[in-house]
Amino acid sequence: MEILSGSTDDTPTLAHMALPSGLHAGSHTYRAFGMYFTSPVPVPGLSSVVPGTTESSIMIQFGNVPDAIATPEYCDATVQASSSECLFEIPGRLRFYVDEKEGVLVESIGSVEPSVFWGMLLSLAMSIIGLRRGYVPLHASAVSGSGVSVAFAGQSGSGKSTTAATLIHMGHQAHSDDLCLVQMGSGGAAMIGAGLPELRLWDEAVEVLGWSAGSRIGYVENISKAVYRLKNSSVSSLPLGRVYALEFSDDASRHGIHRLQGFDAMAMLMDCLRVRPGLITRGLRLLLFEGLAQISREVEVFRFCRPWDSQRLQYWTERLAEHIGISPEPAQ
Amino acid sequence: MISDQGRRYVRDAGYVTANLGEELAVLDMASGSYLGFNSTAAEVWRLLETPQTLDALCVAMVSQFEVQQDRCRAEISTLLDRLCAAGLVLGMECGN
Repeated sequence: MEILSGSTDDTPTLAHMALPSGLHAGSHTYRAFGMYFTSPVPVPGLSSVVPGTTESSIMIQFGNVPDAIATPEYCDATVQASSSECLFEIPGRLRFYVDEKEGVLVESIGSVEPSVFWGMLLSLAMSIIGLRRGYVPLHASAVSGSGVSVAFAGQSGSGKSTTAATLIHMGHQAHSDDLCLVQMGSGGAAMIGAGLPELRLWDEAVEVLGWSAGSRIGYVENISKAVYRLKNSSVSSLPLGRVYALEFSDDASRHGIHRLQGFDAMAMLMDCLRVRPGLITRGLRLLLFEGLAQISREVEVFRFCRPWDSQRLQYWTERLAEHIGISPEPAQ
Repeated sequence: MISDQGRRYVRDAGYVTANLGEELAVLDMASGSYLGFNSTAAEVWRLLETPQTLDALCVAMVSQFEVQQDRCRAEISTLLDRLCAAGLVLGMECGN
């Protein structure tokens, strides 16, 4: 497969792990975004794990993806979805199909760097499958410290990854980028599984942060984002302490950090979902509604609004860091 | 004005409710849209789980909130009109 050529990753091979019987030879099992998945090929940047015994693995396979699903409830130029199936295309890059048993069939339709390919596939497929499992897929990046994660949610261009990168520079640990699947535990605690150990940053953010273009591992050309692999990332699920919804505004009266409660918090979270509204098919509405309500009750939600001014990025991030109040991880 | 003493009001079954402290969120299962209710509207919505007359709603609300009866009645009547117009609440003529 073309996407695998050129990978310099040192992902462990099957020889390093013991798999339970029943898994076919050649499968690699990983955990990302709080869910197990298996792939017939190694996934760059992730370390193999032993599959869980109480939770099913998402099976990723490569092959020819169907052109259509039988009875779509939602269609647009790149997606067809029903409550049990989903067909997704990223033009010129990949297509994938999610069946009712959470199998993912993938077809590469262009030349894509491995980090870009897996980032796109896992973020989208995990969002859809997580939604079906009752998780809330937030369009958010997260960092951790003191055993707690903090998520920065918002729409594209709101500064999620840049905020996370700045806090990582201050000593916080990366936890997830672009997608946070929030799972509500039976005890009421919200948890976020660690995502890929990567950050995707706009060119302008890379320049402001002073990161080296030479150390990136990939580049998403259609959205001008560089992919960076992070060495010091969380690997497990952590309690979600807070969500900050990020906004830019020229209106100085809106600037600052403001607590949102009740329906305001829930509406803000609804605006920060990682899936487009059409994918929330009728059978998924109640699950998502209950999940959003539970997060709104159990997790502190804030609006963090600041001006669009790259020169003051450090100032605003320091204000945010003070507000977050969690300690960076001690240096290794 | 559709609110009057000869009617009973009850929630439409196509809506699901979630408590958010004193406030409420309501999901329209058919469209997927969400509505938020403040604390007083939330209390009316809770009462409407079973059929209620305007009089009964007023008595219940006056006992829970510091509000004059005339003002309470006018505001609940307006709220019921809006809820009925939006399809969240059904108004039924009662026989007695």
